[in-house]
Parts: sequence; C-alpha cells; structure tokens
Amino acid sequence: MPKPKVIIIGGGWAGCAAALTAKKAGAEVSIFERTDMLLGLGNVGGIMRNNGRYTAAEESILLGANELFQLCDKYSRHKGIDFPGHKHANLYDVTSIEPNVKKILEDIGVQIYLQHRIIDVVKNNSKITAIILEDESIIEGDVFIETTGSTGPMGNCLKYGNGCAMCILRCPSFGPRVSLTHKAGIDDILGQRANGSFGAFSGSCKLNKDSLSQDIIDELNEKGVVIIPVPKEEINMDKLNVKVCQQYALKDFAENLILLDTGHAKLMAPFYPLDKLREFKGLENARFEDPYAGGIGNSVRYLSIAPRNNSMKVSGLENLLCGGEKAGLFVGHTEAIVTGSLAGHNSVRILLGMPLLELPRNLASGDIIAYANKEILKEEGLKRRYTFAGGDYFERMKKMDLYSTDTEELKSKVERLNLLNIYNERLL
Amino acid sequence: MKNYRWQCIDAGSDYCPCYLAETMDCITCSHLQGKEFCDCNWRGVCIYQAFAFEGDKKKVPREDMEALIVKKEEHGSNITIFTLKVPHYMARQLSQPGSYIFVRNKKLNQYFDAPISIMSTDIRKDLIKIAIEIHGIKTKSIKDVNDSILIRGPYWNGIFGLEYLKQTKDSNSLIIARGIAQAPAMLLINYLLNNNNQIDVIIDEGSSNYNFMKEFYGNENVNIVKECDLYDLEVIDYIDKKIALKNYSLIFVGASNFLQNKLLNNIESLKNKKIVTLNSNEICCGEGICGACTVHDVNGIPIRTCKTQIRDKSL
Repeated sequence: MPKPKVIIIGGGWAGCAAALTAKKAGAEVSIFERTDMLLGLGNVGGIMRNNGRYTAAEESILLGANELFQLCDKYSRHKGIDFPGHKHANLYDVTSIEPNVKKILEDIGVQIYLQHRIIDVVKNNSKITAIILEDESIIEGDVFIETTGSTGPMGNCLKYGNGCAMCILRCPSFGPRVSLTHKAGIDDILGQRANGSFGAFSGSCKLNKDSLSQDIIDELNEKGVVIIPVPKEEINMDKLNVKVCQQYALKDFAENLILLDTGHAKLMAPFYPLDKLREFKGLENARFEDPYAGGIGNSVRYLSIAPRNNSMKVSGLENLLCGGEKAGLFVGHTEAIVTGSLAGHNSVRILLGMPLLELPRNLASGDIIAYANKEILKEEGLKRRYTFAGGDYFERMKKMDLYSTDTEELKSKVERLNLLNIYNERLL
Repeated sequence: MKNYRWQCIDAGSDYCPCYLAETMDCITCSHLQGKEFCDCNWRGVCIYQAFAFEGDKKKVPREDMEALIVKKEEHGSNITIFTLKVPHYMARQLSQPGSYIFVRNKKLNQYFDAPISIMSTDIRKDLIKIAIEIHGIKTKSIKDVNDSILIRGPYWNGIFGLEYLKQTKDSNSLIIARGIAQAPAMLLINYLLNNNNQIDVIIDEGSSNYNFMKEFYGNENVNIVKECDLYDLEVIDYIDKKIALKNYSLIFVGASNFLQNKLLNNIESLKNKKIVTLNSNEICCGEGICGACTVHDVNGIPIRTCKTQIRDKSL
C-alpha cells in the first residue's frame, strides 16, 4: 500500500513546521509553495525568543519540534538582546536562513514543489480529495494542511492598504495567494483594526543596511539594535493602530526609530515615507529592502482566517488542517511554527482515525491556540492580535504563570503532561 | 461545479483597465466585477490598483487610424493580401501570434469593421500583412479599396492556448490549417521557428484555393507533410497516426469552429496534447462589449472570446 499523502499548501514557517512533524509521524509529505523560496515572510522577519516567545520555543523543542528553533538559534546574528518592551531576543539572519531550512526538509525526505501555485480544491462532500495547480493539473492527497497565510491577492493591499508595496510575497511575479478554505466553501474570518476596517499592515519593514551610515552599521553589527529618537513634531501615534504587531505598538516605537540587525536593518514601523526617513542623521541615503516601496505601505494581512478547532482542524471539513496566520490572528514565526507543528502531527492522526492532539492550556502553546480561538468569536477579539511576544497575550502569560525562561522547569512540566517528544513519535 | 477564473488577453497591457472596468464587468478582477472577495488569477500589476491609479477611469481605448496600402495581391479564387504601413508600435505589438486588427473601407461606418488576423509583420519597415478571403458583407466592402484603409488595433486573442505556445522551444510542432486559417498560422509558424522548433504542416487550401505555405518552401525547418481535404475521413486517420508516431510538443488546429471541433473530437491521439486553436468565433467589437463572440463554459457562464483566453477542456 502506498504511504498516505499529506499535502501542505504554503511553504512559510508554518508549512515547514507542519511538514517536519507530519514526516516524523510517518506520512509521505509534500509542500506546494507559490514562490521560488520557502519561509514566506520569514525571509524578512527574524525576531525570535523575545518575551514569551522564549517559553514557546522551549516548549516546542521539548515537544519534539526542535529543528527549526535550533536552526534559528544557530543562524542568529545576535542573541539575548533587549530593545524597548522586549527582552532576550534572538535575531536570525534573514539573508542565510532559507536555504538551510530547505536542506533540513529535503534531508528528512519532504517533497518540496516551488513555484507551484494552488488555485482550487476538489471536494467530495466534506472531504478534500485533491488540489488544483495553476496549470490545472490535479494533485490527490489524503490529508491537507493549509498554511497559505492571510494576505489575499493584490487587490486587498489596495482595498485595505495603500496599494502593492512590492513586498517579499511578490504576487505580481508569482501570482496571488488563494484562500483554499474559501474555495472549499468555508467562510473566512477577517481581522479588523481598531477603527473596524479590515486587515492590518505588516508591522515592520527592512532597510538596506549598506545604505545607512557607517556609525549605524557598526552599532547594529555590534549591539543588534539602534534607537534613534523621532523629533516631537513627527511623532505619529496613529501609525501604531494600523500595525499587525501589537507587541510593537508601544509608545516607544512611535517616539523612536528602532532598527534591529537581522542581516538587513529591520525598521520597526509598517512603513515610513522615504523623505522623512532620510531626514534622520545617518539615514540620508537610506533605501528600502522590503517592501521595496516601504515608503508608501506594506502588505495587508488577516483577510482570510479559517475557523478551526484547537487541534488545528478546519471546521466543516474532515481532512483539512491549518496553521500560522491562516489559523488565527497570530503574529510571528514562533506562533507559526507552534501552530504548524501541531497541524502536521495531527494530519497523521486524521489518517489513522486517532483522536487529535490538543496542547494542554497549562502550556503557553496550548493556551494561545485555545485563547485566540475563543477571542476571535468576539467583535473586540477580531481587533486584537495574539503573540507570545507582547500585547494582551504576553500579559496573560505572565498573569497565568505561563511565562518562564527556565528550561528545566518547562521540561519537568512537559514530562508531567506526558508530552515529552510527542512530535518525534512515529505513528504510521 | 468548478469555477473558472478567466484571463483577459488585455490584462496589464496599454489598454487595461478598459470599458469593462468602468462598468464593473472586468474579465479578470473580482473587485471590478463588484464582488467583495479578492479572487483573481492574474500575475502582474493588480488591475484594480491600475484602475484606482487612473482615477477610476479606463485607459485611452484603441482608435481607428488610416493605414497606407503598400501592396495589394490577389490569389486563388478570392484571396486578397494587403501589405499595410502602420506606426512602429503597432507593427511591434502585432507580432505576437494570435494578433488581429479590425479593417474597414474608410467610406463606410463602424458596422463594417472586419476582424482580420495578422499574417506577418516587418518591424524594421513597420509593415504588416493581412490576408482577406472575400466572401461576406464586410470583406466585399474592402475588395476594391486600393489606396488606404481604416484599421483599429492591436488585438491579440486570435488564438487560444498562447500559454502553451510560449512554452514550446527546441521541439517538434504540427500545424493543421484550412483555407484562410493558414494566414494566422504563418505568424505562429514564424514564432515557432524563432524558438528553434521543427514544424510539420498539414494544409487544406479549402475554399481559398491558395497555398500560403509556399513561402516556406526551401526552409529546412518547415516540412509540408500533406496537402489534403480535412473533411476526408482518411485524413483524420492519417493525422491520428502521424501524431501517435511523432513526438509533437504542440499542435495547432486552425479551421472553422465546426471543423476544429470535428478534428479535436475524432482524433484520439490529440487528447492530452498541448493544443493551440484558432479563435473562429464571430468577433465584432473586440472590446468584450457587444457579445457577438460569446461562448459558454461548462457551467453556462458566458465568455467574451474576443478578449478571453480559454482552454478547450473548460468548454
């Protein structure tokens, strides 16, 4: 009998994490990615282990989803740095991580199909039987995991943002992302901003490091972070409301330009008019690296979130799971890997008809998945974002005593829950 | 039911967004069809964005222009070939296989616009060649024109399966064409030759009584394998065997809709091949407005074929 096939649509952090756990649990795994690179927004992000993400990273490693976190640690340009509102962050090098993630997946035997854009699904009652590629060829599978993110085609970036800003998603070149849950007849959930409008801007952009002054380059290389105060008349608090990343929607981020060294100089603002930016000392020649038109806007996200249960299974479909932003108003790589890993593991449980794994709520990873799912049903909840790194959820982590940087303590907790290395168990 | 998202040949061109965006009937963009959900299949600059950037207005549409007739040749029983002098951009934009223009006698009004395929272009001299089979109301009105003619263009959707054509390099192709369909086949053959393909040709002069392929005599990459009557059942058998025996990457079938369908339905070895067909529908305005060229997909959705690239299996 041929091995049952798990098909993952979307090769970002969530999809890669799902591929690893599904493969380790024993399935035949393929990833279909629209662009020519894995990692999606992971190619321009880079912040790991800040605040509660430290706890979540350690939990995942203990659960057996260790590879990607360890790789991010290994490729960190800076470790354990602090910047306003954030402690002990690692900044991985966005210019070198992607080929290494690809290698891990290839080595374990995951089939990777780059530049394979999926445009539709074939459904039989409440079961997906196949996906349809851009060239209309049909790929059959047994269980499917959608990790396509939540940014729709380019029209969304105009309708809810300032138009295409030429971000790393590169839709004009690789074609628009398609919401497969929508194609399968499931109503997507849309995130909102404080004023009720839909979607949210990606929260940061990248400057080309070489375009900055030598002083700034040196400081970035040495400390990982540079903080430049914004002149009083230029401070724009409104900008904080349009951002995806609540953890960075702090007063400090409006009053200061905060640059982080992730290979590029990550600018902690959704966008910044270039002429204003160039008024800062040391930024006279600055230019954007991502999005290329970071002076006018950024990608708009949270436009197609799938309704799901706490095992990451999409409601209303028997064999579709989801992870990453597709699975909720989550922000960040850590959140994508946490949700993706669970979806990957559960894909094999669906194949076997086993009860699906839910992470217990006394782990931050389990709590965020369940909490975000409950909050999204409320109108106010649609305006919030859920991340271990800050905002309301990090406050909750601290209040519920879920935040810890003590690996031993976390280990004994995971052991007590009988979940140590569960993702490494071969089920099939 | 599978929903097809159609691609407009004009998307991303100098003529996009067009009238259809203004009336919220865009072929490609769901927002410009009045839908809330962003759901296109277009790779290129967002049409909705282009429309908003133009101030919610279409770009300047194609207009009639007068083209000098440089040469007029009469062949067979009813074929007239015109060589026309056109602006440089027009010659360049009409070089893509499937290009067509509207032509009419300048003394007559728009009802007489006849859609005519481009047969060849010379972008150094800014010349285009078109072949007209004189047999209906519109073409008869052109027959006696000698000095200049009104043209409107460029239009591009004269063939379906352009995507396959663009993928075909360094391989073998088979061209099957009847009558006046030999004219668009010539532009296509030249495109294939430029991409290092070997070409076998099966022609049927049909009612034109003219062999357009003479031009390729002596070209070692073009092999005219058969001259025949494509309605002959034995010919269907011949083509079937020919395709089964030789590894063709692309097959062009150019004829009337009736004959194209007959060949596509009866030649077993054509199934699963990359097929390019001629758009033989009754094109009338070229802008997706009048509806004369409409066909319906498997779901009964009307498609304006003057602008929409379609695939046979969706019909």
